[in-house]
Amino acid sequence: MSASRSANAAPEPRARTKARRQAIERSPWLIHYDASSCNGCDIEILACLTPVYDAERFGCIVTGDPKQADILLVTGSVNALNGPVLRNLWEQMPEPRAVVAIGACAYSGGVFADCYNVQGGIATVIPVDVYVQGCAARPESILDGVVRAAQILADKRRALRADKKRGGRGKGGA
Amino acid sequence: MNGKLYFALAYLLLGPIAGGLLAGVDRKLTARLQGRLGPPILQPFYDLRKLLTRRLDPVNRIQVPFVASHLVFAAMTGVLIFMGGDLLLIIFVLTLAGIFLVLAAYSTGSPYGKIGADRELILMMAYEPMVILSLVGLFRVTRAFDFWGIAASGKPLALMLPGIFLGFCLVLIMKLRKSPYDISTSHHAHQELVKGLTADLGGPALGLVELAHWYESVYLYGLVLLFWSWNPLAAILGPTATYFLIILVDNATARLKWGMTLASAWIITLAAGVGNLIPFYLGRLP
Amino acid sequence: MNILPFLIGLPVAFGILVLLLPQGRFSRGLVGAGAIAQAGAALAFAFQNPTGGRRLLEFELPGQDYLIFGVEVLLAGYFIFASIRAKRLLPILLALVQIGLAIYGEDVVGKSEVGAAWVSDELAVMMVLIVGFVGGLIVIHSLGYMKRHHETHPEFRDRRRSFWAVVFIFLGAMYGVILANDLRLMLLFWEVTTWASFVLIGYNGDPVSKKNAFLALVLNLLGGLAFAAALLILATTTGRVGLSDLARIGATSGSTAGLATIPVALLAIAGLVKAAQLPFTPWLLGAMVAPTPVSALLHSSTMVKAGVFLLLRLAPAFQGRTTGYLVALVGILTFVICSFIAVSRRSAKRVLALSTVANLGLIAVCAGIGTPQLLWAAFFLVVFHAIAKALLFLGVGTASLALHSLDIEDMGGLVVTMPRLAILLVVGIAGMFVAPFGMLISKWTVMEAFIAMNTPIAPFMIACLAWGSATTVFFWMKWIGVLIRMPDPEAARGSLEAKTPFTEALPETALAILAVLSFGTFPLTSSLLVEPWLHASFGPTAFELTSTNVFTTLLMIAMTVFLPAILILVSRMRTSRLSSAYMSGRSSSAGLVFKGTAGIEKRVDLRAPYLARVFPESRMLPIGMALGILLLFALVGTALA
Repeated sequence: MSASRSANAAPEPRARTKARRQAIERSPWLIHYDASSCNGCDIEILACLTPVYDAERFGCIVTGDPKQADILLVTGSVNALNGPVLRNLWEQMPEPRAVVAIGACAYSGGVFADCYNVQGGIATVIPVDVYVQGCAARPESILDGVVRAAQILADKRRALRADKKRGGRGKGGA
Repeated sequence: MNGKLYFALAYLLLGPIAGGLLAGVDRKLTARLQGRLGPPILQPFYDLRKLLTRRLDPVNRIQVPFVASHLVFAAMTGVLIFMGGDLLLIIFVLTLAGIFLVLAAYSTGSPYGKIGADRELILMMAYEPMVILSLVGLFRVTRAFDFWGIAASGKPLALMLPGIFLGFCLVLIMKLRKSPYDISTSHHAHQELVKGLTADLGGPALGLVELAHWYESVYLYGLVLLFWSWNPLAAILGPTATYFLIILVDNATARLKWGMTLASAWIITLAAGVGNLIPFYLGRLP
Repeated sequence: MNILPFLIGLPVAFGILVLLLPQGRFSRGLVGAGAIAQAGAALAFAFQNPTGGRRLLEFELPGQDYLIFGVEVLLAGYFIFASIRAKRLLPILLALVQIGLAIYGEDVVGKSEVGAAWVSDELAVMMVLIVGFVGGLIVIHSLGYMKRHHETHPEFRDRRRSFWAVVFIFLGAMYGVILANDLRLMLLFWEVTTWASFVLIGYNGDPVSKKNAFLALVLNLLGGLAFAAALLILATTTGRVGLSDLARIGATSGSTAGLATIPVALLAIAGLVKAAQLPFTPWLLGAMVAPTPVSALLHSSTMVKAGVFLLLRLAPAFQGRTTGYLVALVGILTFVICSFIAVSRRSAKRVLALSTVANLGLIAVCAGIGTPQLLWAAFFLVVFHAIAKALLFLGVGTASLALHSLDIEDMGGLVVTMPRLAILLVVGIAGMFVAPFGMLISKWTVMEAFIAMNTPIAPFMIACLAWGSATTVFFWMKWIGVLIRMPDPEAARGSLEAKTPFTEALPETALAILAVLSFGTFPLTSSLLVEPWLHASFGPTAFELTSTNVFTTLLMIAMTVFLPAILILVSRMRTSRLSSAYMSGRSSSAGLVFKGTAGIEKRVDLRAPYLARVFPESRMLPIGMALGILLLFALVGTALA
């Protein structure tokens, strides 16, 4: 199972040579938020930090502070209480920022989709860049998703810079 | 004087590179000790480049000036050390640098920054006696107050001042934000206090803090070098072994609570630091 | 024309005048004029007696001896009368013993000789300037402050005329203490300051004030008794009662020095009492109930400095002697214990009082050991501390009127509600501990001196200084942290500041400017005043500032003052959006109001760390006093031996 891109992400990136990799791609800092997850996906995310999977070799650091983070990893579905919180966290992140929705619940509510408190997947409150499928998602998929998100970040950064050159503040990545 | 000036200038320009490499090797080693692959050694530079190019909306207008002042004084500490200034006076510049970072954290009014700042003050209170005692010890043996004078003394300082060196390693652990004394903010375990002292600092502000941290590591290891400066072999092995030891301790220990931090630091300072000094004043040693 | 009689007489005259005139705008104008006039007299004195070493001043009133005796009896009578009214026995006994000593020794003491009745040197000139200018500014501040004080506390009787009368007489007495060389004169002025302190601490008239006034009276009377006893012994054994004579005899080695030991020890005790060193600290802590101008003038800038001034005058007799080392031990002990206690205190005035005592302890250490380097440091400690502490006390006074509280926690966010005051407080606090400001220079010099010492107590002294310094950084920084807390940077700025009258704002600002100026010009002060003073006592090569350290310090001053200012200006120019602080994702408005569980709205409530269990005053102060008493016994014991 691999990660897939959401419908409203940036256009397909150009071929990437090693020399042109942006700093932001080399240093994607993560913030991890558990919306209403059963913690299955969260445990797999923690596993990414451990020796077998080692997210740090991509330069990932899990920082808990949205002001210092580039990528928001979200698990679980949105409900009335965590919707505003999630939105708030996302807004505090400086641009360019990317969102990775991990697991089935983050996509659509998963097995809990019919519950009275579940409003849906993450996309109901914030724009998502990468979906990582699974219930629970496997660490390899999660890492794949993070790496994809880092590439998307680099594209967004390029778009931001191009916008700025054209004058006026560009609307960065959604 | 001229040679010292050039050295200080080299520190100013090349210090960040050395500091970044120290940080990079640190992360790689830490990862390997934990059985992981770890990031590339140049990772800290990628991090810094990323941070400096972010846009940041600060929490208030005074945060970034304070952080910038922190950087300036941290760098100035190193410059003054390598220019051969009086080390005792330079401690106060060091304290001043720390003070600006604490002020930046306090000014936000946010709970996480505030607790981080409180703990940073506790750390400063914990290590300051030992820093002063280290300089006193170095002076008693070498009769010099400046970096170059002490380095030129030719005496085996780490062997004559083992307690002081142990205490200085304690200071090193605290200033480098390593376990067990990384109570105010930390590079590795981030989730406690949500970055503490550096909460609400993002983008360029955090980049400046990183840069300051690199300048600090370089001059701190420079001071470690002083203890091992009596012959070239010791000068290479000593600081390197200290570097490895600190990383090992960082990985092997968990964070202490602030009470234990203060108590353990002061007790070790008293026992090892003052204890090491007493023979010198009783006239038994040169 | 000899300024000396004007220097002392002018304030006293103004004091009596204010008492005679009815309360009103005219008497307040008179107070202001008096404050300026006595500052002018101080300046004139400084110009008339510039550097160049010790000078003997000629002045003698006819019938001086009877005058001294008469005033002393009057003072004792006042104490006895007040004590009878308050039904307190101990002060009566002490006052009676004092009169008894005076009568008993009248003959011998009256016939004693003195080389010079009045002496001035660079230290004296500096202290005269401090009393004149800092004292003058405090008096001007009190014009606005006392009015608001009585508006806030209608339950206290408005006795402002007596207040200002006593303050002015006190100023005159301070000049007397500084310039008198004849111990009989000095004792007289010393007792006048005790009287002034007693009256002013009890100014409010409520039971707490009365209790603390009598505590101060008892302890200061004890010190006065030690002083009188020293005078009597000196007169009986040597027939000479000049302070400089005593210092000179004490500094020699040989049999004559033995004559000086007991008087020197007794005078040391008198100085330690006046400077509220352990075990006498409680009187100063209790004196904080008095209105702010009293705390600023008597109990930080001037009167308590008289105690260490006496110790500094005795420094030649202390050097290398057991008495000196014991005085130094008392000083360093006071420094470290009071610094520790200050960490856990929440009352702003108590923190300031503890810090004052701690710094006086440092000066006592310098006097006790008495090397040129330490005396250099002591000089600057006196100057910088007087200015910075006065600034802090006045600022805290203004803040307490606006906030109706002396609790440091209530000063949260003062940088937004009272920006001018907050910045002045930060300047004052920075002057107390931050590089490169004043106190720092002195502390550094003291440290260097300790390190170079070869005695076995040196490690203990160094350790005490190191630990004390560490804790001072903590409690000052914690306070600044409370002041600059800005949960809502765009809130109504200066909302509380509008009510501060001009008479309060001006002295505070002036003191802040004076503080920064004095820090910045310290090399000049050193070469013009301090080094000549040292050369006079120790010879031409006594002590010099190395140029690299001067350069370093000045560079630091420039950077600390200009750098943040420039950066703040620059950041103001960019109109970037401000974000809110991280609150775990809770949406928070400005001021960090957020919705907690169950949707209940809460505001973030932050408190500074006081570490009360680590630094408990209830344990530390008694231990400190016990150790102080031990040292006191040692002091007396070794002197008698």
